[in-house]
Parts: sequence; structure tokens; C-alpha cells
Amino acid sequence: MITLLFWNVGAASRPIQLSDLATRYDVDVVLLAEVVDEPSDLLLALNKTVVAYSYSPGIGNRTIHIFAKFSETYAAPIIETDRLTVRRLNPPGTEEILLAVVHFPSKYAWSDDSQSVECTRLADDIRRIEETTGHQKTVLVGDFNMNPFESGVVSAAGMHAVMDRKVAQRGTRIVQKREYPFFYNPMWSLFGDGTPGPAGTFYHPHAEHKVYFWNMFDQVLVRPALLDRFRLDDLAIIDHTGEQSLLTNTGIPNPQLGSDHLPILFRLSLSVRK
Amino acid sequence: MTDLWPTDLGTVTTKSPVTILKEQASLLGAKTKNIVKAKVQKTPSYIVPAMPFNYEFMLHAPALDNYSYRLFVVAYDVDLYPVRFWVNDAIAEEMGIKRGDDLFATGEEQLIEILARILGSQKTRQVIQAILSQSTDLVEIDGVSSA
Repeated sequence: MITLLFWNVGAASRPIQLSDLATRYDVDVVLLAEVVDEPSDLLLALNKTVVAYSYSPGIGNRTIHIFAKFSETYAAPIIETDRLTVRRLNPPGTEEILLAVVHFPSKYAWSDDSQSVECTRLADDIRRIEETTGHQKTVLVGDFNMNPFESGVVSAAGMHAVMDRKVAQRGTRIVQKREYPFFYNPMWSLFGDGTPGPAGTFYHPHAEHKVYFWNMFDQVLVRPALLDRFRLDDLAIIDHTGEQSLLTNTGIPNPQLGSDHLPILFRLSLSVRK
Repeated sequence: MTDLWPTDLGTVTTKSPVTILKEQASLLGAKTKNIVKAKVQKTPSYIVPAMPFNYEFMLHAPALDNYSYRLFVVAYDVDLYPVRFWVNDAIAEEMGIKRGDDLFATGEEQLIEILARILGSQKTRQVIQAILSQSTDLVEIDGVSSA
């Protein structure tokens, strides 16, 4: 079992919160966006009591930071842009997976159409890498700055991420004679107040007619080839570090103590490499 | 039957944007002892349907498990110009392009000018130097000189 945590820390210094989160949830791989702390400072915080984590820097990408309880050798970058890093994750003793971490432009900077186009390009990148590596054991995680129901996330040429595991398990779907592989998007199951935890990962009460208030901008998408290693119970939106709440007393993300985004935590039961 | 086609159809007088990109890409390997190469490849999907020719300019490191970094993307239609560029945030900032603004080259001269600014940017240098540094480490570990 490998435990991963993604958090857009909101351009705030958060070494203590990260250290608490990593300890409380026994995180193996920490994935961060909008980091202002020096990696060395975060490493010191993560290794406060026990030296467990290594820093796995990108080569061209300097905006997404990865810390893991194994050497950076086992999280080598394969392809990057300034908003994407794809790693070949093969910690000793376990099967290899592809871990793609993304931080898309915000809705302040990009239109919905531009975000959709970027999803198409990301989907192309991932399909190409999967062809090169010869497998589709891929997890895509990050701050998409899009909701699970938006065109770029749902459409076949985009992420093709669906809410139903059974649909995803079909593997692919053909549209206009082109075959597109599915992702399973389990974040749908955490949307709204019918499940434990917050109703989304990002709260935005804007003074306009159409407002969702809660958004699920931070998502993890799982390829069908990894679905038997992933259980819905092993996914959560985190609202507490173990030492302090990440929410205000009205129950929304508290940027003063945490970030305007909440972390997401998920586990994969990776099989032992033979 | 009378041949109505012009006789000089086989004569190409202008370089296509992708040819210019490929020419520049071909020069990088020699400058880095082939540790970092540049590749121009067609993108699998259209970015803008009205601009069906889509190419991405990648930095490529064969010694780093074929690591790739996408520097920028271009698109254009059968008229060749204008060429639309999508550059990454860091390069856009260096070039003084505001978020949401489009970057177009309206002709060959402007294409070359934009290309020069992208290839000469700090971000491009930083990525190339990072690849060189990592690749050199690997080569040293393997006991083979990269020089």
C-alpha cells in the first residue's frame, strides 16, 4: 500500500502543516503545488523526527514539488512542462506506475475553452507516455482548476474521466473512429454534503448569478489498469492536519492556517514486483 | 487534353514555419554534445480547429530515460501565417506577454524574432542546464565521460 497526498498550499509557507499531515496520515509521497518554501526547508520539516523523505525534483518543472519516502531515483521524470510533471514511480519491491501531477492555470487567467484545450494536450501527452512505457497503470492528480463535470475533464479527447468505475472499466470508447481511453474520476463521490468531509476542495463564493460555492478543483484520476488497486474508501479530502483544522469555524478552507485548497489523500495497493 | 495546372507548382519559394523550427531544433545537439536535443513533433490532436498544422517544440534528453520538456507549441493553417504560439508561463513573463494575450507571428521575420526570444530565454537556458547537469551525473556514475 502506498499513500499519496496532493496539496495546493496556496503560495503560503506551510512546513509545519505539511509535517503534521505527513505524520498523521503516514504519507509516502507528498505532491505540492504553489510552493513558496525552499525544498530544503520542507525536507527538514518532513524529516523532523525521523529521516524518511527525499526530495524528487523535476528537471524543467520547478513549480510542482515531490517528496517521497524513497530515493528520487524511483520517481524519475519522463516528460514535463511548466505545469506538468510525469514520473515513472517504481519504489523498490513494487510494480511500476506512471504518476502525473498537474497544476492547471486558474480560471482568473484562462477561459474555460483554453482549459479544455489544455486538457486535450495533457491527454495526448499521457497517451504517448503510456505507449512509450508499454502500460497504462497511470494516476493523474493535481489542481485542475476545473470541476469534474467540465468539458475538458469529461470529454473523450480531454481527460475522458467518468464518475462510474464500471464505465471506466470498459477501457476505451470510440468517438468518430478514434479510440480514447477512460480515466475513473472518484472525486464525484466526494462532491456535496452527502459524504463525510467537506463538500469540495475549494470554496469560492463569488458575487455573480452562477456560483457553485464548493468546487472540486483538486482531483485524482485513475486509469482502468489500476482500478483493482484503488478503493473509494482510500480517498479523502483532508480538513485536519492532526494538530489543527484546515477549515474556518464556518467550515470552509482557511487560507490563514492552511490554503484556499484542501489536500486530497489517496492510497494504492500496488502489488509486489516479482 | 490541355493541362491547366501551372508549370511551377513544384517550386517552393517560402519556408514553412515547421521547417524553420526543425532547422533550429537540429542545431541544439551539436551545442550540447547531443546530451540535449530538440525535436519538433506533430501534436496528436488539433489545438485550434481552424489551424490544422500543430507542432510542439520539445527538449529531449536521451540519457535521462528519454526525458522530454515541452518548450512551446505552434499552430497555423494552410496559409502558413499567422503562426500562433503557446509558450509556458515563465517564458511568457520574460517576453512581457500578459496572461490571456495571444502571441502571433504574422510572417517569417517575426517568426524568427519570436523564436530567438524563446530559445534565448532564461527558462530555456535553465531547462537545458538542468538536463545537462543531470545527464552528466548519470554518465559519470556509469563511468563514461560525457566530454
